[in-house]
Amino acid sequence: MHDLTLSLLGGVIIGGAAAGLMLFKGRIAGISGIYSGLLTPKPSDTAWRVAFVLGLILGGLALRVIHPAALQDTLLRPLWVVALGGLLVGIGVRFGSGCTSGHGICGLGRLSRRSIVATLSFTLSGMAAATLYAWIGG
Amino acid sequence: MARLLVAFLVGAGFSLGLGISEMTQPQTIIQFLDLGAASWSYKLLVVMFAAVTTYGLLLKLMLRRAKPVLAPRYMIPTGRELTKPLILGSAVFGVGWGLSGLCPGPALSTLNTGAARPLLFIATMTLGMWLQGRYTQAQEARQARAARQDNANPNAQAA
Repeated sequence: MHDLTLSLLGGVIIGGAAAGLMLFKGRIAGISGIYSGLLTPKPSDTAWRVAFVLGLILGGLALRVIHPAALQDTLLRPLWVVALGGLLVGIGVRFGSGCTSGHGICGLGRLSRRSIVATLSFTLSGMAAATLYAWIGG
Repeated sequence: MARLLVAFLVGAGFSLGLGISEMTQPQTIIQFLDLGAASWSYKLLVVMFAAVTTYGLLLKLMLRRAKPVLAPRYMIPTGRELTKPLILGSAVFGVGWGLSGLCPGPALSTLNTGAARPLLFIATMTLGMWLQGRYTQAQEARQARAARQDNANPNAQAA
């Protein structure tokens, strides 16, 4: 299938899945928020978070059959860069109340003012970081 | 049980969508974020556009229902205030995203490869979330203490 068709199809599936969570559970499909809720577990609020994260992990397993190219990492950043990146992502998404899914997809989809600003913020700083990193000679 | 199944299927659907559109490849993300890239790609924008439009349209349709199928009410954030943590926190997130080419969803989707990078990313991301939680807790405790002291000694502020 053509690259563009796959991009559109993938996007529609992501949007549809996020809408499913709102239709059935009335929740925003923010991956960082659902995941970080597991760090402060509350009895009636934990099982669905675990199920969601398991779905993400096992859905990834299915990609081995459906679209193996998805699981290739051709960037291979140095491990310390990945570790630092993860740390900054963890701190940033909690102060910023969301990531690419919660702000970028769900927030923009409902035209939330806070999410539009957050998405602009992380896209611009992401561009600055990636461009500078390449420029310095990563 | 139905609720758990829905959460599982949404997670799995998310992973499949991210994978089919190759947002799970750090290279795809960096090809968009690195403005100097020789092979600059707008693929991320196409995926975002499709996802946002689909979500927005479905949301409009489904919010005609008074409540969700399996829950008593919709839990949609209503805040409009543009706060410092929102803007700066998102900027910090962006730096991590732009350095690693990973964000929470794709990192979880590619954990099954057993490769070092997604695993390491999830580990330090979890640490970052935990540190932020500790910091916020300490901050709140400090504020609560300060408020109690002010109440105990109302003239302190005048002095």
